[in-house]
Amino acid sequence: MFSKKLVYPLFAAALFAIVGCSDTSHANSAPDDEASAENSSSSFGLHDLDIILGNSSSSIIIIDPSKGDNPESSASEDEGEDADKKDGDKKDTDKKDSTDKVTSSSSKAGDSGNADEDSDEPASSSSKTKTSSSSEDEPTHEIVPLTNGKCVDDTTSAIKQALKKVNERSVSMFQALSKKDIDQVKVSSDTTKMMYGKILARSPKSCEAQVGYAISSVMDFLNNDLLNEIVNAYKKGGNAPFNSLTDESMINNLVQTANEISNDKSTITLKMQKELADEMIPGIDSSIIYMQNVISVGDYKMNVPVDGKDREVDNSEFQPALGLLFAAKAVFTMVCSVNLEVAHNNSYDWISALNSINIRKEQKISATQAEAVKIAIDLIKADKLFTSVYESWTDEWAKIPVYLDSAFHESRAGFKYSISESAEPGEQDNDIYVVGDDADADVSLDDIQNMVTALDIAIDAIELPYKINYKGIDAQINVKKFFANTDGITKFNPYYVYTDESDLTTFYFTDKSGKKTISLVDVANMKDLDVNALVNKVVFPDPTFGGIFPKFSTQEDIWNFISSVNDL
Amino acid sequence: MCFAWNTQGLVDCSGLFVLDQKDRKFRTMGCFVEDSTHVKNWSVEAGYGNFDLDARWKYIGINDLYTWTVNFKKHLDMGYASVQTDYRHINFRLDVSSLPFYVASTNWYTLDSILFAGVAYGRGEMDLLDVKWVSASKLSIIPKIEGSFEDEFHFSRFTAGSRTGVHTINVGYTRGETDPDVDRKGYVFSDSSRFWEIEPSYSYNEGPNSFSLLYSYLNADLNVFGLLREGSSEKRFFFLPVGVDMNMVKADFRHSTAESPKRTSAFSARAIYMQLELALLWDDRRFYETLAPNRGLTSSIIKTLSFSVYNRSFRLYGDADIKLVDAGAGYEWDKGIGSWRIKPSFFVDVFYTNAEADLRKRTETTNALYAEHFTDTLSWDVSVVGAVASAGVALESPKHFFAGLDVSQIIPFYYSKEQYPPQETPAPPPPEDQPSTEPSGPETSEESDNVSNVNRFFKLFRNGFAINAKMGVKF
Repeated sequence: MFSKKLVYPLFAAALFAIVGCSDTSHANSAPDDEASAENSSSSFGLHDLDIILGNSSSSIIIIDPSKGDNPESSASEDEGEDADKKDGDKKDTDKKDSTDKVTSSSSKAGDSGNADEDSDEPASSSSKTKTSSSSEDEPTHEIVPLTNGKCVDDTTSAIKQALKKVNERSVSMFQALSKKDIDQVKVSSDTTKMMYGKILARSPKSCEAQVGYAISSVMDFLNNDLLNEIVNAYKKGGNAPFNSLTDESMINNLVQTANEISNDKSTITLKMQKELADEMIPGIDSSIIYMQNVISVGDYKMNVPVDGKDREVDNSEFQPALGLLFAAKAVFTMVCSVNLEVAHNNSYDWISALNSINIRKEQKISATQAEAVKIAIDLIKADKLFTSVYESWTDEWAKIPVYLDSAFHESRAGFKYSISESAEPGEQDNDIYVVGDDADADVSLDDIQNMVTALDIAIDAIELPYKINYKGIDAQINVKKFFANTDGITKFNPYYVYTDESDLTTFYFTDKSGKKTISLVDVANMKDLDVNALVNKVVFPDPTFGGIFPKFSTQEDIWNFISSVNDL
Repeated sequence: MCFAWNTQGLVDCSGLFVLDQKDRKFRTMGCFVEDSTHVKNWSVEAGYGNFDLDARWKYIGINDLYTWTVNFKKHLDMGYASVQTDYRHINFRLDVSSLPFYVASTNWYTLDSILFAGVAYGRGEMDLLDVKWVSASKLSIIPKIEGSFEDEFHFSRFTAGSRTGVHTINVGYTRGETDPDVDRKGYVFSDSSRFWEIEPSYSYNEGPNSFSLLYSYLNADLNVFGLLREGSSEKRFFFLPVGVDMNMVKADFRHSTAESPKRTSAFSARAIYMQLELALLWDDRRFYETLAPNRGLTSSIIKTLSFSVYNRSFRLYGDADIKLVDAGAGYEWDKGIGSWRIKPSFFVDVFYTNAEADLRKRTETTNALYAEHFTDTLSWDVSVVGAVASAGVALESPKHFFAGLDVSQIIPFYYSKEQYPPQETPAPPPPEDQPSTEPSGPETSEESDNVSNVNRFFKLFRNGFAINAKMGVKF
């Protein structure tokens, strides 16, 4: 029998025997995809796609639907342009005709699924689609069909398999973009675009292929030759980062780049405008039509496997994306429409000379600087064409408010869609962002509603004379009036006079009668904006600026507005 | 009618100054004033305390965007009171504090204490920490995150034991839970956790010798999270699930050398072994990232668009294991100076501690049509061997007054640290930029300056130093 003294220590020892307790529920696990390899789909090539699609020849050449109906002519873009196009009237191409019917799908009530009836539209290219059955051995050209109307989900197994592979591959394009690997983006977007083109050639109404083609077409802008030429020329200028337009080294590098791209036949300005008109705007138009086709389905949802999980893309992404396309079209159209040519004898050197002038010092300037001043003054004279709209682009220029309106309406519809989705449990499980007020969501309903409100304001500002009442700014702006004006903005310049271009001290602002009021040097030497010193001294001939600011009736109105904006 | 009563008043202040360096700081200070009175079978205690905690950690990343400082502060003023009544086989006690928090407890015992048992239940609100996170980046879109860590806490505790002669055994079991407190707006930190603890012990008391052995096992599942609450919306931007296992064994021995039981001269020794295992649990659920900065941005158009343009989040998982072995011995004298008693003491601990962490930081980046992740390994293996030297003195008047002062200082002998990836030393900024590289703001640097300017002598005690002073009267 154990002694009583031993019982307690033994009992205690038994309790201590459990020393080293641990809870297996705390054993850690690791994610299944921790050792995930590189995306194998990136090795998926055009040949593999041809096999899936059953193409007998892998030498099918896909022609962009926006490039016209002649594959040969599309493939060989003539680089040099006629010198006489420098006057800006060269932009009147048949390309812009094809864009006339590109309008907001959300503003086209009840037109979802409508096929455009006009025969010379991009949609007509579908009738020119060739099939690959014409020859087994000869390279075959196929124009990617561009049809207006509701897209459909193609359930053909070959198409589904092809789309799955190409969708996965397209992810690598965005991966490269995220890593700022532009070279990889170029390669990836080019191939991806071709792949979606091949699928569209087989299944013209495929929704997924239309979305893919629309997106990869825009990404493929990075492969634009002129754009790359400009970037490479700028990079050659050494370490001149994009800081600000007042940075001298950057301006000099930009001037050098512009000179390098310009030649006797054309300038960088005209080349860029031509590139935008001939290549990018048609590309945007195609993408707009494809995106409209998808949106016209009503509630199309597309699942893309990304990083091992499905991500659902729906109208909350399609419509803002379409909005961005419209915004891009508006901007590109603005750039193409306006005479922005500042070259003098096809050279931009004068800008560097102008920039080297210290306007605050009352000193004589060099002959080169004086020449630069002369060019600048000549450029902004009211009777000159600078900033005026090319005659052949006046129609397009007038439509820019419509494009902007479409951009805002589409984006707004996308955000409204995401609000409506948030009311349906489970609808957003794989969405890119989840809307809701609880903790299992990314953005709140208020956040999205704020976006909608901001877009409402933008829509109002485009559609109506809009009253701005914000942080001391009290004005009304009529955007449509801005786009109704085709004469440029130089006619709104304040009155001024000078006697000697080589002496900046002879530059004076005047009143309407021509009486000198204040010198340019005095204005430049103001440390802060002094409205009282400028009102009725820097005098604008039209306080309403052609009706853009309809409520401005006096010079005070203008300067009070400028002061309020400056105080922001 | 007659009754006996006695009362005791006490002022007790403590300070713990673990760390005070340029990038890291941890110190706590607290004082309380207490008074207690016993009347017949009733005893009442009441007191007031204040507590200060100040901790700071500055993380230096590859650039300002990845450099930040987090401050944890708490100033707590708290009143508390308790009342207890004792009967022949049972007592009842109620403790109430102004947190607010209350504990109700009762104990049952036989007269010879061969069996005893108790139960306690506590519930209240815990307002634990004020958290402030400041980025070194000057980008206005990055907010200053400032919020409090609060939760509601409740626990139950059961004890049972037996004493026979010189032997006592006792087992305690505690379980508790916390619930999030979500009333506040802005940045809110809270947790939804549960824990249980078992604590068997054995003690031996015979003549001048006493010995006790205690084992404690703690198991906890903590789910700590951070929310941004704006209007009717709340967004989870921080979530950290942690599993905790702690084992501790502690042995104490005391041998009284006093000739009289009224004197306290004694030799004492102790040994502790503790192992703390932390498991940062993998959780792949959407909205349960360890840190989702996009969701922590205050409402703005940029925030809304960021999920389609650039959304980056982090998931931290892995294990950490902390071990501590400590052994020490000391002596306390009890000397008389006239009718006063003076009690000098010293105690020296030698300890070894090792902390290993093997963590993975998974960085997930997404935009509209793209997502990717990569995983970094983060590991640390830190070992320290050192000593804690403590010295104290207590003074007692013949009748009513007593006072005491104890100080402790950590003295490290050996320190090793292995880290992966190796710590990168950021390039020193140009001299003219140095003032602007202090992301912690003027208040922290100012405090630091004050400490160094007030008295350079105390700089010696800014790391690993503890002090306790108390003074009281009893009647």
